[in-house]
Amino acid sequence: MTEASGIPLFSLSNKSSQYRLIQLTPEVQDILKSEDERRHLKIKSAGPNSPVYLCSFSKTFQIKEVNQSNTLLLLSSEGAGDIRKSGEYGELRILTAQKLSGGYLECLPVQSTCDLSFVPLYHGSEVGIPMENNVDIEGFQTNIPLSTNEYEKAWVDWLCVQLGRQVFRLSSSVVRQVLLNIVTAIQIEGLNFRSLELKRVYEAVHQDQEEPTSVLETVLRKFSVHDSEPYCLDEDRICQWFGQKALIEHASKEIKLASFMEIWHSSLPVSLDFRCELSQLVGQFVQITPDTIQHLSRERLPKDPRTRFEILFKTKSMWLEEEIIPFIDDIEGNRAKINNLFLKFAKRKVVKGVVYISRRST
Amino acid sequence: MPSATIEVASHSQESDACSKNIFPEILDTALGLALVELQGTLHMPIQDSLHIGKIHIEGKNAYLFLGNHQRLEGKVEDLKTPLGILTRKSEAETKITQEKGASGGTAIEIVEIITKKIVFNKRPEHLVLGS
Repeated sequence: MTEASGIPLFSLSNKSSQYRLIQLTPEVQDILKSEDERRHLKIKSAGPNSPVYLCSFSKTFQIKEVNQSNTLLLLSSEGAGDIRKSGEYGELRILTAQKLSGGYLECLPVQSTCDLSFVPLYHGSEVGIPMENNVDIEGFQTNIPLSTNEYEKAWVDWLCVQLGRQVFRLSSSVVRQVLLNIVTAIQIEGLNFRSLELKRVYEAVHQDQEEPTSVLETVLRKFSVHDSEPYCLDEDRICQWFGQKALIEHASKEIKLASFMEIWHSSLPVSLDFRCELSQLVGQFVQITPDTIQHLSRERLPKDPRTRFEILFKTKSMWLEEEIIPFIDDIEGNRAKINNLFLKFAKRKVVKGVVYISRRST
Repeated sequence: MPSATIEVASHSQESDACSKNIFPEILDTALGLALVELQGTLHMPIQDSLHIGKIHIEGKNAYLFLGNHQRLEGKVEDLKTPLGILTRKSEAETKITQEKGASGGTAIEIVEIITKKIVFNKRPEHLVLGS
């Protein structure tokens, strides 16, 4: 082997074309192999200093840059034609070398959730469509950093609705009123609670209220077992939603448990037989004493475990183990790792077979 | 909130690809793109089309001659995780993509997936003219 037998290399600056390297983990490779997943493949970001996400049909990855100190060159025949034309190298094989800036991009799978509280509220047809801070549907669909599946779920979870070209969230009062109207109409018209067609529901409800079909559809999807027709309304979901609203509106401070249960039960549509149990609201309240509860939402707690435990112990100094786990199992789902959190940030004590978790003494 | 669609290039123009690919089979590259990793910093010229050296690949061994006086010895290695080579499509190509029904802004393409790299991690040897 001598220098004479090598292929000549020429420089190619980044001005000509820009390449970046992206690491293709097995998960990303599976997405590239699936036509359904590939068709929805997008890179999304809120702006130059915001995280960047790779979204497919069903998965979301956060893209991070991994820098390295080694030099990376991409060799190719790009630009070789122009060099040969200059005459010196004639028909010889030649290559160009382009120095790649940065390292490579890695794709980290994330269970992506999105805070859609920036979407304005719709308070019903009597108030009308808000004119300020509107969110355009096309931009919303294109740019929310969620996979297509996650987007559909968020749309329903956040009670989003499209009115004209704009996106809104349904206010609690609209949801309550529409749901009550739907339940009443089902009973009057003899519709099947477990098998509802949107058109039929709209015809039944339209006599009593002026909300558009899209509003009814959002409410049906929210409280149905199925995401599409025929909708199968689920009493437990309805009961749970009303319970969460009752907690937010009436239990921001400590409240007697009996009073709360009464408020909860009376807020539900009377025509149906609901089963109100505190187990439906796990992760949304804390039992301060055996007779009192207070609203505490896991979703609003900080992600940092140290800060989270501080807030939990400030709310209640001593917890039963099974009581505190719903407030930390989103940080670590694995039981062994939860125990590690207890070891690190709390004190675990067993009294007569019952496990208590309290603040770690400093 | 900006977004960009991503496409995977199909190697439909295989005859073109073959004519551009002058690397040996060991590098397993359809479009003739090869990744070289050098331990250290390489000061590349700013201008295009300046001669910087030569590369020679013989089986799994590779040799990089830089300028007239340095030779580096390296090897062809498997990448632990394959890498996609991303590039931005031109405005005209992006427009074609959008006409085909894709929404969103810029179109980005994965032009090739590479599974090997040529690594030079030894100190360069100094060559004397005539050696």
